[in-house]
Amino acid sequence: MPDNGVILEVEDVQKRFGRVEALRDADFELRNGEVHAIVGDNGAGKSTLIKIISGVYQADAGELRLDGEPIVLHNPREARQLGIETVYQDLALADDLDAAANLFLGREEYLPPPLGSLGFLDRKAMRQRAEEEMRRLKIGISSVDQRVVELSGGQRQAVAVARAIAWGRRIVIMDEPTAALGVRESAMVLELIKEVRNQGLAIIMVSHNLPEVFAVADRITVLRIGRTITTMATKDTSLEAVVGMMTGAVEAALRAEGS
Amino acid sequence: MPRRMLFVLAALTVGLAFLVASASGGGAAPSTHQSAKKTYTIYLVAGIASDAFYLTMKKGAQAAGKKLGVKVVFTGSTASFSPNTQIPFLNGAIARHPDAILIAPTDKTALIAPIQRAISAGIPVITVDTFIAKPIAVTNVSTDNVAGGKAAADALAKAIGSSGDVGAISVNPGISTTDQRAQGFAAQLKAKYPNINYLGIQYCNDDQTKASNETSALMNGHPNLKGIFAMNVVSGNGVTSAVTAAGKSGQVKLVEFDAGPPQVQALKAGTIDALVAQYPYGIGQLGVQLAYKYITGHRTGIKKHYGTGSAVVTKANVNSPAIKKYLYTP
Amino acid sequence: MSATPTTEPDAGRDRGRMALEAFSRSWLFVFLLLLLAFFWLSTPSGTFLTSANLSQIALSTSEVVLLAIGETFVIVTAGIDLSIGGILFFAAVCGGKVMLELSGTNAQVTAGVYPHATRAVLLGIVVALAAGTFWGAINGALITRMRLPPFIVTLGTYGMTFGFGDLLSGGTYLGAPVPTSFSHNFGQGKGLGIYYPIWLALVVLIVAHVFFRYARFGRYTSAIGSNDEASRRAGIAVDRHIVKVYTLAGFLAGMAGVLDLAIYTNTTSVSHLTDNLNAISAVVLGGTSLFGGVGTVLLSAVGAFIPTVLTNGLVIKNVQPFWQEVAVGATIIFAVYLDQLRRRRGGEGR
Repeated sequence: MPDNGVILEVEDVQKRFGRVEALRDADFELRNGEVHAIVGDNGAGKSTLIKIISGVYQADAGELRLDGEPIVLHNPREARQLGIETVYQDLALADDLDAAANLFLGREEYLPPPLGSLGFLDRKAMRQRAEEEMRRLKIGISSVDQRVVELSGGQRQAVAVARAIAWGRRIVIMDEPTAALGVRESAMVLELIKEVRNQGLAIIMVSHNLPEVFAVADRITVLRIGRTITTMATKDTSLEAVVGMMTGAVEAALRAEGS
Repeated sequence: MPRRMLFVLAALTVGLAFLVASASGGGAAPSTHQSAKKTYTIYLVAGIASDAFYLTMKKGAQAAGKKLGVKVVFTGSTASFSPNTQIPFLNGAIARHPDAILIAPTDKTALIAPIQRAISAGIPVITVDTFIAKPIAVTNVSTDNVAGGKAAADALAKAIGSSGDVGAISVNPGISTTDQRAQGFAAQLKAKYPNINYLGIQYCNDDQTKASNETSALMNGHPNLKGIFAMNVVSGNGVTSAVTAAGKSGQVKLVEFDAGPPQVQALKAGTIDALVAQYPYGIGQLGVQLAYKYITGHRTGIKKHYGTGSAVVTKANVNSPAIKKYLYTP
Repeated sequence: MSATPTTEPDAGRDRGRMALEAFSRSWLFVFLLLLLAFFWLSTPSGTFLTSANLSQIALSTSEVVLLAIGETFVIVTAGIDLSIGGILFFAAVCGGKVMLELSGTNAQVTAGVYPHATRAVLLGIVVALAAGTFWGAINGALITRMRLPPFIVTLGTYGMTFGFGDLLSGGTYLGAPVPTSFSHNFGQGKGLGIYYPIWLALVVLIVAHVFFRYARFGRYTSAIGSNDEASRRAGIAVDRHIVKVYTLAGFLAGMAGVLDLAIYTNTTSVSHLTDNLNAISAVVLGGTSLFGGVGTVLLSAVGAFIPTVLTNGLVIKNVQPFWQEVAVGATIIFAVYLDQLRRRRGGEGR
């Protein structure tokens, strides 16, 4: 049984862009070894929230705590150094490089000096490690030497996910991981997400696709117009209830009941 | 693409010049002032003002001016031989309203409109060294390039002993001066040297690297190659480089058009066997004399074209006073 | 696409793609060999395929090889450098002026006497390399800092380098050749039977190829050309790398300027107006994609040889060398078509 302690807390975070209040009061809590889905209608603030966690945006107010320690992220690099990796919706792979090169992009391994000091790459080591990683995640690509452009959409997503997992020591953020994929390929990626969870990482997943969310997420946080409405365990709720909270219907009903 | 851009720029400049010309009306007739003037002023607009050829022409013009009591003002771009750098200097000259303008047009057609503007403003124009496609100038004074080509043929034939293969390298077809040199060269070989096998012209697009490559091909493809005629300076530099790099200096004889300082040095060093030197000093001199004749009212008897001679310069005669006046000196 | 029933690309298509890939890598080399064979067989023996002729062809190609190496890196970043011919010329003028100024008095130099040749030449080389590097860095800085398209920036510096160079030289050849010992001992000199400029180009080519394929520099170059945003997110200092790439191209253009002085003893702008197109043609012939991401340094050098071999062979065959331009043009179109085909096939998997 993995350690189910809280790894990341987001408290009262606010963010505005000019006159637009993207986040008014967002709270969020992530535990080790869980898949935590963030859902909400368009404009609810999902993207803004994960971009704050991955260091792309900086919050105007509020606090981020990693393992209980307050942190400030100025850029994505600092987030990565803390073990927070992101799989972007638009993939962010270098298509003309092979899978292994993409896995190690920006984190290449070098030969021992003197060649390594000149920037010569240890291609063999990176290749081996890439193969191990692909095996561990059960990603079926025929060779890590294949250029990414030659892979199928699912395989490309798998490479992007593999890169995040390979380097994410604590948290992997996935922004719409199946948005561009067909049915079969989506299933493959969802399997991958479960696989990663089983290996003990915490996963934040942003998705529009509620059936998928219900298929893999352990907990769901609902955002609406920049606020956290609620967080609940997937098994304690239903698709209809979540839709109701996303659109505000449930809230209105509660309010009517209260008065 | 960049060439096309240059072309567009040149076209724009010409267009602007047209606009300005029509706006100013061109009606001002200054001839009434002329009789009151004591000294005449003549502008000489060079192809490239920094080139030894034009600097030598300037000396000839100034010498003639001194004799006639005419002030000669030398002007032109120091950057490149092109219409879009030259036209502003011509416009500047027109604005000063001199008594005459001598110009070495850098393009046969692009300079027609700006020169027309000078003529409309009442300034007589004489073209020197090169000419324009429309006969609007008073006259043209330039090297007889056909004769120069013939002289080159004679010089090359003499150097190789009147037999063997000879080649020629030029810039591009369609350039009046080099085409005439080529014409004279071929005609003379055909007429006077039956034992010389002329291999024809290779064009190098004014690229010394290409000229060099073509020379290598001529040398290797024709083991009996005895000599090469380079029709301009850039071709000549490529030819020289290929011949010396192949270690065939002296075996393959070289004759080159023009006699600037680098060419004279190569001649003295023995890498070039003969130079066909134009006579820029004489061009300048004659240009000023004809302009003076025209502005002082002696307009009859001026021909439409005057050809100035050229001289064959060799290591043997390079230091003789008769030849020295032909060498271009900055 | 998503309709494809398997996630594994099926074997037949895979094989076809690999064959296309292999063909697109090797055809140019085969084409060059065929050209050589054609000229060898169609000219009298002992004319075309002689060591003297081949080494002179290589000498004529050495400058373009250096330019094409730099241009390959630039084009792989999905950029373009139109200014390299201008940089070459500017660097050669600066270097040549220094060589003439320092090697003797004006009168001595004009008479072909160079009392201080060695010192002057060495300093001239340094100045030429520095001038090239400077303009390369300017290109890189303008492209990254001001966020201007490389095409525009280098079109601008193309004009500036030629303009400044012509202002310095007066628009003509320098007043005298650079010290003759420089061409005698280096530009037209031979070591182990091969001209020194060819050795230099060869060494630079191998070093560049190795760094392109096996080192971080090449990998980042490809990554940026492939997807600059992804590279940025992966923590690569993209702007800094782009500056480095243009600076390298400028440095190599400066080196080509040194060769221009060494081989031809003098330099003039008209000879270099289309060097940029020659270098870009070589790179494109070598299969480097104008869209960035993919390229091969070695094949760019092979591409640089196509026009010079054609010119030389056609002159020996007594055919007007205008055919060279026709042949090169057609070959370029074929090369780009091949690249497109490869990309389209590559994209099928998506």
